[in-house]
Amino acid sequence: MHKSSMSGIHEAPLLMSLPLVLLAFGSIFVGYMCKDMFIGVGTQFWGTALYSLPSNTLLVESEYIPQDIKMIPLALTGLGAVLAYTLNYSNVASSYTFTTSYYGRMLYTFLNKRWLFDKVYNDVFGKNALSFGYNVSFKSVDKGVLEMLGPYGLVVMFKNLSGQFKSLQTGYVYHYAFVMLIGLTFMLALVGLWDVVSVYVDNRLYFIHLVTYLIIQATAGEA
Amino acid sequence: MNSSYINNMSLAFWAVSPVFLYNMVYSSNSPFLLYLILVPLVGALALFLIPSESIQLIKVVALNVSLFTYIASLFLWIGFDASSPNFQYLYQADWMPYGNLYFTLGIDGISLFFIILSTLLVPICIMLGWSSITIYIREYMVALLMLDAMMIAVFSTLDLLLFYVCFEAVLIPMFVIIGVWGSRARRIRAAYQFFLYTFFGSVLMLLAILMMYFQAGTTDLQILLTTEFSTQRQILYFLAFFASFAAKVPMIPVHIWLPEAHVEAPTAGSVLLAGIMLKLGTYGFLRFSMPLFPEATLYFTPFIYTLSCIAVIYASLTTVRQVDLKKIIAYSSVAHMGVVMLGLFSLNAQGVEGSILLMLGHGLVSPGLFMCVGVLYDRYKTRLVKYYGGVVHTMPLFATIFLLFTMGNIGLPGTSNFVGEFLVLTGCYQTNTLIAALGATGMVLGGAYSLWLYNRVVYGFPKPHYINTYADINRREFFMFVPLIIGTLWMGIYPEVFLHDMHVSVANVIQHGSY
Repeated sequence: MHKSSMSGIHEAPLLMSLPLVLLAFGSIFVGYMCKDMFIGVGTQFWGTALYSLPSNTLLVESEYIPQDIKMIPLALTGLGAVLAYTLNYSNVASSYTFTTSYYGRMLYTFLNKRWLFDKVYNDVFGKNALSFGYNVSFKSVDKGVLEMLGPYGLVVMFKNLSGQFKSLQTGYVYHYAFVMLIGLTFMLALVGLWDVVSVYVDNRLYFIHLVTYLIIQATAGEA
Repeated sequence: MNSSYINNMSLAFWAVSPVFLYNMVYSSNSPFLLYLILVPLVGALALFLIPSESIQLIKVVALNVSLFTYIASLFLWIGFDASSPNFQYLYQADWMPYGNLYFTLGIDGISLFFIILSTLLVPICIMLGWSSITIYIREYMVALLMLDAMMIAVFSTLDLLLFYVCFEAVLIPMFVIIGVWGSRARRIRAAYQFFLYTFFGSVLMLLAILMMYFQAGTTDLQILLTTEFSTQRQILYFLAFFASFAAKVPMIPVHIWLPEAHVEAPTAGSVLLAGIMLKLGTYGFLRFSMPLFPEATLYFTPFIYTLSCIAVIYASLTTVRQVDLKKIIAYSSVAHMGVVMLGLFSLNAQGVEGSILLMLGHGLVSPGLFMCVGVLYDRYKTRLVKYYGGVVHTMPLFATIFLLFTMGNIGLPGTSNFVGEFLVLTGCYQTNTLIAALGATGMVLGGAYSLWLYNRVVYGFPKPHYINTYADINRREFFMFVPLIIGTLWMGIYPEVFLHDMHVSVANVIQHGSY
């Protein structure tokens, strides 16, 4: 902080302190003044705003609990204050020894770090979610599998296939002769073995297969 | 031609326009929807008559035509009868009468607001390109006006084949917009991806339409709604339509074109993609798949629920880790459209109305966010988050507007998305509690990525070694944002204005799915 701003430090002006005074007064005395309204015998103040089970609607018992049980919150508050005073003022040396010991430090850290809930949240949910969001869903799936099976894979496939087809074109006469020989053999086989091959070649059969399939599909539901 | 002359011409045009509008709406049997489609088309043709040197005139004419279309589309809303389940403003013309195909137009409470949203976004897009588009200005305006006409047509058509034609026709101007005015060389690839993904599915839809045509003898939606298809056929049709609409929504395995297209598109392209194109898919489900194939809809509901849940969680988690401003908003759109699908397939009034409202809200908020990114990109020519910081110190107005749209994206009460998401979850909860719970995690994750994005860009310290010239938004940019802000808050605070006109139409759609 700059020295210039330190020189301007002052108590809150009236305008600021008035609301604070009102709030402070309320925070201390509202409970005392409105006790009967909030928790008085048979009060209807809360209406249905606070839900209570039908079995608990008889509130008379809760008005007449033993006095010592009613005193427990006050006693515990006082004990807490005493404990805080003991640890922080009257027995500073022993509490220092305690918090610097191994187990004392563990306990102190555990309580001071809000039971380490943030650590649990961070390690169990936060880090995993962030890592999933990048490594799994973005890198492996979106930019990996879906891209490979989709646009990028298509591009690569066409590139490779066209490269392979292109390599058939060599310019050597004996390669062409070989291809012609294969073609001729294939044609001769087709002619010679027509009775065997025709079953697979006749495209009318495919059409009949398709139509049959569609008819079966179409009639399956209506039957 | 000096600018005062142009202004006088615009004023004169606006002075006589109420007469046109009055005649269009209130003369009996006037084909108002047809006029609405023709106005931007005529405007696009008129742009070709203007010499290409007078750039200012081209811009002004395009803006005025699109604004006129917008005002005219509001008259649809004024004359709309919310108590009728029938299609209104019906218009039928012979298209191919020998094939029993007619050019049928008509709207109900569902399509009404999509038309108004489309016509609202187009003038904003024209203003977006006012100074950032420097090449092919006339062609840019023509593409936008044609897109305007096509979007009105696709939302108002009542003929399946005509819907297919318009559904594909919308692709063409968008393909050009991404491919010509995009930012990097990669835009060509993105445009192809966008086109192919949508087109592959659409071909299957065309086959299904043909099959329905040969069974029913017509593609008129109103007649098809009274036709009963067998369950097997319905499943087949539903799958074919699904292939087309799912790519457009986009649902999860076919969504990768969206971040790509958004990143490469100019701001106007992103605005229309997010605002209207995505809604074409969900609108298709609502208008065609659900009422035409009710049994198949029930059959596939678990499937759609699963995909949408995956979309919500998976896309949200992916969004958190993106470093590109536009990709963040694109992925968050995938998540939001997942919520929309959850609402649609809850098949009850709350869910469906909520998802329509969420579509409309997303159609305002998401374009708003893309425009925010566009404002930054126009100034600094980068979309990477790491170069930005401390924008609130240098652009306070922009930071306020960006905050508003960020809150809208989270679904903060008081913004349109909250009402939509709340209704969707209400509807979904009645159908499947687990799915509603999973869908609700999307809202939490939405808070995570939206706030983190805003935090990184707007707060912190400015990074003067990257960005050292500063300018807040100018008057033109401010007026682009205003209608979106008003719409977002209006829909968030008093949504009944919109829901009132939907109730009967939505009930009508839903009762088609019940027995």
